[in-house]
Amino acid sequence: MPGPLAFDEYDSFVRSLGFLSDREMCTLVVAGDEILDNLLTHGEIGPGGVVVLVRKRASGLTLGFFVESHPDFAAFAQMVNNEPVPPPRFSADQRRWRGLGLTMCRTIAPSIQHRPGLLVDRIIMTIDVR
Amino acid sequence: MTGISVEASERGPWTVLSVHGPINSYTFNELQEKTMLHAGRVHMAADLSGVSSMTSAGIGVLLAAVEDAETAGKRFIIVAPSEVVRLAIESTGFADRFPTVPSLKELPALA
Repeated sequence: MPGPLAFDEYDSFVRSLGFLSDREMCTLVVAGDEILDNLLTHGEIGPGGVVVLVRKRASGLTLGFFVESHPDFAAFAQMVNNEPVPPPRFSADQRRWRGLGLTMCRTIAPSIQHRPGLLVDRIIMTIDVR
Repeated sequence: MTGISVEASERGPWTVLSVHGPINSYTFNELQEKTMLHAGRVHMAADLSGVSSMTSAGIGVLLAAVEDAETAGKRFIIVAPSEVVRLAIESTGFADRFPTVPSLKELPALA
């Protein structure tokens, strides 16, 4: 899944999962696209691509991303594990908002964990869609 | 659909941007260019019914457009957001910053 094609492939994958409701699909598209956006912006997706796991249980959804380790993304993602989440802020000189994506992910997923590894990094989101 | 299309049209006092496709870090520039061209100069409506997904990159563009409009005493309204867009906006906690109408027919008349 090189570059922007990753979004298309991920969205198609999620929308093909027949065990999801429409709302669950939308939730996974929003959360997963934000993860992909950050993977591509703050790191890169290696030749191994991304392996995505979606699991549905009575307690909620689990969305997992398994991607080749990348030091830049690992450094960026450390803030995911930190509490509390800093509020979004506007960078006037860059004319961009910072922290919006993290807030989005935290709102959607009460639990987000970034687990860096020697070869593979794992990002696990637990989503309550009830 | 990897890219987006952003088309501008006039509808009474409103300049309408019709957006189709996914808005993310690869595509938001086109939306940003079009909104910066119009926001704060005219009353603008963004028809997002054709947006298939939206990351924080796109929401940041919309927030900036809202602020430009408010600063200039103009209006900025979102029209018919898709379910994915609505959910993305709600998840930022800034939903109350975006006036929204369900269709172009619902755009308010302006004095």
